[in-house]
Amino acid sequence: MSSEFRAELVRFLPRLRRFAHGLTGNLETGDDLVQDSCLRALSRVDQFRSGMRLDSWMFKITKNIWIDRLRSEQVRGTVVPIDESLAAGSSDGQKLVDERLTLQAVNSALDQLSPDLRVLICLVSIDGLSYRDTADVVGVPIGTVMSRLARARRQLHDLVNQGAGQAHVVES
Amino acid sequence: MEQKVTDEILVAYADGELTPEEHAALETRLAADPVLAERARVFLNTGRTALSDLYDDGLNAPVPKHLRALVLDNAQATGVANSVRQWWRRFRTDRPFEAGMATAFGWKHATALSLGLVIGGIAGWTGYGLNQTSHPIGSIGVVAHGDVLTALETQPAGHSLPLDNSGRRDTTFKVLLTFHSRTGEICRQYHLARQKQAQTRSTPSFVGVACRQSGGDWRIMAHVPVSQRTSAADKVTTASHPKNQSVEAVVDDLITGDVLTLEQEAGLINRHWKVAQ
Repeated sequence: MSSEFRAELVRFLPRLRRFAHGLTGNLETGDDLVQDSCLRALSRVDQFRSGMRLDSWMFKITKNIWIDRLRSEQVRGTVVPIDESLAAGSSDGQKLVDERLTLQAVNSALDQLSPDLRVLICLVSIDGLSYRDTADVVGVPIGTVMSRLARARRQLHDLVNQGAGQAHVVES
Repeated sequence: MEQKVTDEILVAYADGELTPEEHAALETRLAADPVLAERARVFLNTGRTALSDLYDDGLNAPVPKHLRALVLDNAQATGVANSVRQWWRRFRTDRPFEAGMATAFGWKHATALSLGLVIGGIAGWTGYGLNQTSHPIGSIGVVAHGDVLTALETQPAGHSLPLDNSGRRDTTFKVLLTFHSRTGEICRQYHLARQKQAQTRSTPSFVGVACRQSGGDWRIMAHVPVSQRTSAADKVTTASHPKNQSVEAVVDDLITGDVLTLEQEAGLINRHWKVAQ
């Protein structure tokens, strides 16, 4: 296995962690998912062809593992602890409180979306992937991405604003 | 007649996916139509800027060492690792480390531990490895976390600790022995078993070895399934499957000196695993 591939994967880990964090709702569980994804990727590196995009490939692997896990465990998390990393990354006390509330509200709302919609939110709204690349990751036409994303975002908005008064922090 | 503005168009607008011409045309309509602008706000408020910022702390935080090491030094991403990780998930806790656990399961409870039992356990385990050829030693790309990490850090050998498995606490973790490795690490052999309600029934069980790295991670060096049979008569659990031989071979290759006594082990736990000079 080429050292270039490993180096590129290491550089991609922060984005993968953020994606997994969005899917699972907390950083620790997300890191567990990242670990699984990396192991699977490393064991199948021969399938990674020249010209393929590492981010799309890894997102696809991670998404598949996460959905498989949901199916096998038939568990939908409800407890969304606040990650300690948030505290470490914020210096303003009030800002920290606001961010926690918002992150908690968004995580709770995401948890109520279907897995397919949650994946879309994580890819597009959290990671910033283009619709075209998202369509490639999830394996549906770009028009389907748009219609699902519209549904997901409306649901998310409603859930956040229903869920807690503090959720208005999302408003920009 | 103007084209109807669908939610798909609005979400694409919010995400910057429209062409410059489409974008400009829609902005003109939004400026003139408060109802449409309110609809667009739903998608703008859940868009890339609003949400990605929430997760940027995780993005900017240092990547855990074990993940970096996994990618850079993944020598044995095998089925064994998959097996391990499936089990780790059971013991993952969403709670932060609770210092109180160390107290709750501290040494006053360890006094009930029979030294004879520990020694007997050692004899039983190592017996399986006597005739084995050496197995490659090395991390299988997993470090302990959650309740298992807590147990490795705080539990004396021989003490069964129920692990919080989705609140069912139906799994127990027991350190079997603690020893120094030839490379200067402290290692612990453990047994991990899931309890069944049935009086006599084979249950999934694992034995493994974890070694404490200089940074405090407990790296799993081996982890293999064993067949565990629980006797209805005396509730004594015995590991009796030859597969555990591989773990014993790993211990054989790792260990230097004698297995630590309970007193030596207690000293290390109390010093947070700092070896006395």
